[in-house]
Amino acid sequence: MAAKRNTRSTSRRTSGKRKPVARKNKRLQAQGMNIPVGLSAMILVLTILTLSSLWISSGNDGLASKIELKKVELKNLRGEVNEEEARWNNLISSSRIHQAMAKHDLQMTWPRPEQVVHVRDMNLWVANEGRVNVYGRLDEPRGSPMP
Amino acid sequence: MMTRWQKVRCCAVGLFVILFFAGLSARVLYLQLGDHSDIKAEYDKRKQFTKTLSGMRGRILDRNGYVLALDVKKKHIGVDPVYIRKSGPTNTTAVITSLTRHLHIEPARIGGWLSQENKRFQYVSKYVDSRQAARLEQTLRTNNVRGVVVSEVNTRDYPHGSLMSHVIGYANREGVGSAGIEQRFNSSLKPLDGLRVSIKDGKRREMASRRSLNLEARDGGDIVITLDQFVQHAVELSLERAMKEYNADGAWAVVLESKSGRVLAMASKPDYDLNTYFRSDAEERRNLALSAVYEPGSIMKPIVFAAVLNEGKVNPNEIIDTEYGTWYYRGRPIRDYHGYKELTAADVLKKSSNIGTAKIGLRLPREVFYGYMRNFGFGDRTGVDLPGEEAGIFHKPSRWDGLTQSRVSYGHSISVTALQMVTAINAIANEGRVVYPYVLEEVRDRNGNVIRKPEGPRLGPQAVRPDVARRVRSLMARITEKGGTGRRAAVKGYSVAGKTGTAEKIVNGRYVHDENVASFVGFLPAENPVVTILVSIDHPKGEKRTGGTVAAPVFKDIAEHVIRYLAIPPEGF
Repeated sequence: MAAKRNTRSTSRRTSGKRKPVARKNKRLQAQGMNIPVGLSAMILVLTILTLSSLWISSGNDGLASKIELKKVELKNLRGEVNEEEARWNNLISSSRIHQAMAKHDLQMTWPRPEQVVHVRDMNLWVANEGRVNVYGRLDEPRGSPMP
Repeated sequence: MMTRWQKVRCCAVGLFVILFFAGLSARVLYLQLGDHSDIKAEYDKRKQFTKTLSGMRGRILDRNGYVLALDVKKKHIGVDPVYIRKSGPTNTTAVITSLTRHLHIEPARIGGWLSQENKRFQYVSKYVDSRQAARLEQTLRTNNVRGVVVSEVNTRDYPHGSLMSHVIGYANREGVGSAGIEQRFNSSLKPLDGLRVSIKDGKRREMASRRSLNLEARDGGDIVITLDQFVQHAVELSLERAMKEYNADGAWAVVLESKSGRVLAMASKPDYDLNTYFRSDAEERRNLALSAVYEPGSIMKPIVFAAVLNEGKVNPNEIIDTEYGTWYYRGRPIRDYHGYKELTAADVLKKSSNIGTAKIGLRLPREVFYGYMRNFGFGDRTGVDLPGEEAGIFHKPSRWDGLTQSRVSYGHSISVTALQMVTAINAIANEGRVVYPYVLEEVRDRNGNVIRKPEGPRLGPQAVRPDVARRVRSLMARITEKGGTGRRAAVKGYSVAGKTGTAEKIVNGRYVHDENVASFVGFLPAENPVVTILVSIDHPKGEKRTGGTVAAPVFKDIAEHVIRYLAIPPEGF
């Protein structure tokens, strides 16, 4: 149809003075149905969207499986931390320390009261500008002068 | 040019294709437009992906953050006897060698398991340490040994074994707390399971993009308790020594932080290993500090003194006739361990005279006496956050006979728990105010954030005036001095306020003279108490088995450790 209209207008323009016109090559003319630009754009956009969605969805699934693996790994590592914690707490338990000491024939006792030096009231020491003894044994009276 | 026959064939094929696609289209239309909810439901069910997400049970920590209980992964090892036998003698030998080497099981025993006819699975060892199991698996892989099955299992681990066993309790195989803290705080400790609902693909993998529900699992909270593993260990060692020395049936002790009521240690013997709780018997699992209801004996006397002093019905310096050690009250005798003609009221407590205390206790009207005892907490549970606490036995005055008040005064005709008794004595250490004991310090989430914390000490009634409490403290401090019944509890450099108690046990409703419970309860330093300790030894054997001989040294042992460990300064500092 479009080709016919073009032919007609050409013949109208050339009606006064006839000029030689190059014969049109029909092979070069558009054949078949023309698809509207809007429709094709819409199809293109839809196709892109669908492909993008598929691509994102597949990426999403891939990431999800990676996250899942990491979660399993994290859980396993937590389990290992717990196991180490259990072992460590078992090793440092008082009964184990006593067993270890007995194994190596070690005996530990608390110091006798006369061997313990207590730090007395620091306020007293400050108030007396350091002239009184704040370090002393139980049997030494409080606030005695510095030796 | 096609022949006619060819044209017919083409038409036939074309017709067949058209009919095939027409049928297919009709079926699709039928499936799409028709009502096929049953088919759809079946399809949805097959495509449905549902997974329960499990978290970990929370830990139990002591006041310093040492782990007392936690979840760990262990392994179960099993064998397939039929498969192993079929795999040949080389593999069978390799299985026996590997299991013997790594699990220390006798070869003959494994051989016995492997020779079972028609048995496709037999456990060889359960709850194997994961490191040990990993070594076994490595050996199996290296030597290409087949027929051994290793499966993973989550289990509760108690790194300290029997330490604090009655307080911590245990969670059963299903992960449900069944005793102690595990039971009491099960709701805080247990994890919240999550749920994931989604669609699965052809390979039965979850399609994350089609996930419709994802509730993440939440790990259980960590429970921090007020007990200290080092104080507890010292207490348990002291009790074990006493049990051994006096061949006692049982022993229990409680250490409280006087001002706050925090329980620093609570021990009960016999005890059990928490990792093998299923091998213990019910008696071993019983927390005697909470559930043993016994007549306290003379350790009740300071309470009676406090009540009578608070009413102004006794003067510590007044003379009490102690009847040379035997007094008949309403036709029934009350006897003293050592008989005296008379004693001052202060010395009645120091020498632990039953007669003197009964006479002092009888100065209060029944209802008033009962009211004081109730205020100190007798007849009620302390409400400590542990399961299995008993309320003791203390009847209302309407049910008393003529002797009850006199007997309650020296700790008979009343039954208490150790925790009740130490709480009552702690009120005297705490300016007359009852402070109820507790064990929960705080609950934390997995990241260490505090999500629950008790609001300070749980205060009870003001049982007696502060000045009366101070006076009773000074009277109790005389008991550990020279001439007192509790001098074996004295600690050098510190004044110790305490009271001995020796109570005959009741067996089948009758007092048994040669079976008793020896106790000592006290606090230190007497003037500014930091810790309150109760020790009871059940049925000690031997010549001397009084509270002053048996329980007071145990108290001293514990007190010496505690003052050094907690750096309690001596008096005058």
